[in-house]
Amino acid sequence: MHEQAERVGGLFVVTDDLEREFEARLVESSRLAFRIAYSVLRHRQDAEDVAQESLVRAYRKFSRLRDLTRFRAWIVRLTWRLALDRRRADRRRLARELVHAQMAAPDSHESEARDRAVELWAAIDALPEKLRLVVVLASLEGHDIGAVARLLGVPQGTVKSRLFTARKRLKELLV
Amino acid sequence: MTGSPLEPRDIDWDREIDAALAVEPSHQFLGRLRARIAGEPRPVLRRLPLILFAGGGVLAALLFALRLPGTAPAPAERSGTSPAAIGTATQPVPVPHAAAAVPAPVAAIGSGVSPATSGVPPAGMPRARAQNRRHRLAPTEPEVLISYSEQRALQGLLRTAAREPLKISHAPFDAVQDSEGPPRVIVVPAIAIAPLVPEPVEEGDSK
Repeated sequence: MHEQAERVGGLFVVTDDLEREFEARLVESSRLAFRIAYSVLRHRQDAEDVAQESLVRAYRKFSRLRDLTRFRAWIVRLTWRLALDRRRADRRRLARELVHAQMAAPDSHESEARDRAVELWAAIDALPEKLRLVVVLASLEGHDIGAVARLLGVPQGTVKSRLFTARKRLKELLV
Repeated sequence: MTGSPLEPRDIDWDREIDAALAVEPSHQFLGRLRARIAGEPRPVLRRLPLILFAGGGVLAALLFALRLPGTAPAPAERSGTSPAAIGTATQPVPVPHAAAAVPAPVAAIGSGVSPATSGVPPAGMPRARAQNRRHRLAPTEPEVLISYSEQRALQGLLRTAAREPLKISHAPFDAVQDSEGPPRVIVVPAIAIAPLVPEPVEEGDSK
């Protein structure tokens, strides 16, 4: 895989193949990273920042990734962690934005939809982290149970169980 | 439709979540991301850990090879005598003729082991040489069969002989007397044997 290695000095090898491999994954993973970040932050610019940071970190450590098929799972975990850190650090700003979004609703119908969205996100936020990640990943890009299991590195039965529990709790919170 | 009452609402929620998450990044996102990555140093395969690992392996092998001949501590080091008298590991210790004169394969009766595998290498002999000697002696049969205690004593003697030259002398009579008690004097009385004289036989006597 690293045939076209370009030697630089004696201790390091810069590989063009590594860059090409990363570029191929960048295109397919950037949207996933953004959406995961958005599911946590619900702020487009913040989500882009976090997704960008996540992918840059992945680029820096890409040469250490032995199994390239695990790249998306790696990105999911990295982005999720970064987004949670970002949200913890900026929780007050998020609250201000939610209030602002509620106040900015132009008509009653749109306001009702916004209320519903706020309510939904509040319920999702109330889920434990493991359940929340499963709900988000199952809703992203048409991921089925198997895909979510591969992304999280857990058995499919675990994903099914978590998804069932998450939906049950959402029902309790939203009804 | 007789589905579970939860199903429609679950589907609604899934749709709501899907709709809530169906947010696309801005058009500039990928461009900004590529620009940011272009400013990063290029990904490298770091060879430093590999070099350190390989160097460590070579060093360990070298140390092992250097340590191998001198692994068995010289008896003089154990007994505290001067190492100069013994010599270095690569300089074999001169074995006194008393030890060298002993026939090599000696096995203990009942120990069940041949001298080639059971014997401690002669003191002062480097381990590599001892192993080579063991290989050489392996197929041979013991020439002398002795008891286990005798084997131990003989090995101790050989070790001592290798450690310091033996002074072999006749034991003084007093020492023998002290160790074994006074010699018993057996007095054998003189036996006088009289010559046999045949008795005279009278005529007419039937006895």
